[in-house]
Amino acid sequence: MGASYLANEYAPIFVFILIALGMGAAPLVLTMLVAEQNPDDEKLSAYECGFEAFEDARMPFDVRFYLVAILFVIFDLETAFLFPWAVVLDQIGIFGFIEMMLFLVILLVGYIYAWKKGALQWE
Amino acid sequence: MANVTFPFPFPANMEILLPEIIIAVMAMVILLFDLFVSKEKKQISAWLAIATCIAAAITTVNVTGSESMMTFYGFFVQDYFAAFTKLLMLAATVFGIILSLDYMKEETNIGEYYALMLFALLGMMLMVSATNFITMYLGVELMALSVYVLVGYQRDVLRSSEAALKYFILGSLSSGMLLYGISFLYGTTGNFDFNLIGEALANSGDSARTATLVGMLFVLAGMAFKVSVAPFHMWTPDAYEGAPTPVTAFMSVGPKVAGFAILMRILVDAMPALEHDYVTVLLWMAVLSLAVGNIAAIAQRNIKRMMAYSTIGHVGFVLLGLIAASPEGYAAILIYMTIYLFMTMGTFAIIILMRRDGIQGELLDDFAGMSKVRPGYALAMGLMMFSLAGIPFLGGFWAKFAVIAAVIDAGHLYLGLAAIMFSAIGAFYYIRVVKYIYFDEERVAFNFSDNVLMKATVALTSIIIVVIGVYPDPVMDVCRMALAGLV
Repeated sequence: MGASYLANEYAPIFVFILIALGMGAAPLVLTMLVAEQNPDDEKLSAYECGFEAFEDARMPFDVRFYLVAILFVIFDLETAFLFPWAVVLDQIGIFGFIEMMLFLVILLVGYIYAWKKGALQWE
Repeated sequence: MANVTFPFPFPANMEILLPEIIIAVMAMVILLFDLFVSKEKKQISAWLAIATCIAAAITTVNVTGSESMMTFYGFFVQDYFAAFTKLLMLAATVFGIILSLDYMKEETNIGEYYALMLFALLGMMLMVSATNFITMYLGVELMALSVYVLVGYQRDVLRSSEAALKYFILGSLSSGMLLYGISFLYGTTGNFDFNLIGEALANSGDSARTATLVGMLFVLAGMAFKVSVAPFHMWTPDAYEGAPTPVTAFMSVGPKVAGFAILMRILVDAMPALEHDYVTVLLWMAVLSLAVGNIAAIAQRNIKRMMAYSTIGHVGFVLLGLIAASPEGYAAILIYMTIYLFMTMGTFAIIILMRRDGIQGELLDDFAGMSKVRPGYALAMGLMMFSLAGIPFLGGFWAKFAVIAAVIDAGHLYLGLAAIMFSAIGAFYYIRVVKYIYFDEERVAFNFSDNVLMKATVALTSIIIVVIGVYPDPVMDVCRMALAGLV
């Protein structure tokens, strides 16, 4: 495991970093060069879910924002798990299938719980 | 860890997971049960939870053979060691539920409470059956996340929420440290499996020694947080004081048993090559814990805070068993944990009984004059305090005796002497409670709720403490036998 091993293993990551930097820089550079410039103070102000950008941080914050966000994370992750599972389903066999069904049932319990508790209602 | 070929075969020996499966399914059943029944019937979930623990205990005994068995391609092990610690944790959970019966009666969503307790239990059981860092971390997090919520369960009580938040933030930090350490060990050995890491470290000589040591230090620090070893104990007094008292009782036993069990597995399987290094680290942690626990407890007026420092002192004693790094030391840890379970549950049962008519009953002053009103409870509390202090011929004495004997046998004479010294200092604050109970005048009227199960808990734990104190051999033999899976 010498230096060449490291270089080989991590070369794709280095390329990835370069591409990521390029992807990040490209819109900024391109708009400077190509787009029509029309500066305005409001365009520079931060936008956050209808809250004033600069005020006392110790204000009541509707916990439902948090609830929706956390529910989104859970079910978004479910999809993130389902996709690779679906791709290799023919290789992992019946055991892999049962495993995923158990996972979905457990999530379903959470879903019923959230529903029954009224976490999905905004009113 | 066997090489896995596609398609996955069904894992062999899946029946050893049966206790965990029962708990997982029943935790979800209780969660849903609570949603669909009327308010009067919600208390049933407590009985369901107790029945679950008993069923899990029976299956644990039934699926455990003298050979250690693995399932899930070597990710999960069931042996005497795991079975014994699981039984301790199941007992802690049953006690915790019994202590909650009256205490949590007025709370809403009581089903969630018992479901969370079972989830925490599931996490702990997963931990002690882990053969590698991945399974272990899964268990640690399941346990920790459930306990954070349990600590903050009375969410309209400010100190409960505050305790939960502090515990959560420091707990997350410790999980981060644990993962960071695991990543270092993975980096130097290329493995998550305890045994394979052990082999790799034994064969690697001194190459990558610094990275290995950093990994070991972070893993130890992360686990020290979870079992509240000084200097990583800061969250303990606040969390213990703010949590509902039954949760305090539960978290001062369950997670400690699980944490020390998995530490034993890590040190025995993965780090025998680093024994000299980890002993040096644990030595200072033990001395600090003994000092902080026993000295700071003297200043406490709130008995839950006092018990928090008492826990820190006791984990200091338990660390002596790890420092001894011998079968006697590990057996001593199991003995300590068994006896500590009964002492703690008995003490907290009496503390919970003190709550009455709007008085929390958590201050030392509240105990004043208890002996004149309820001599039975007073006697039990006295026994618990003497036992925690390590007075001979009560259970706590043999617990301390076993660890100190093991550590002196292993050649750490001064550490043993220091432990005896701190134990003597600690005796002061335990015996002070007895002074309040027996020699002070009653200041507020006592009005004990007379739940028969609470009475039974107090009586049972007192009797066990006395019986073990007089005749400790059977418990010690069982603990030595439980080590068969480990060393």
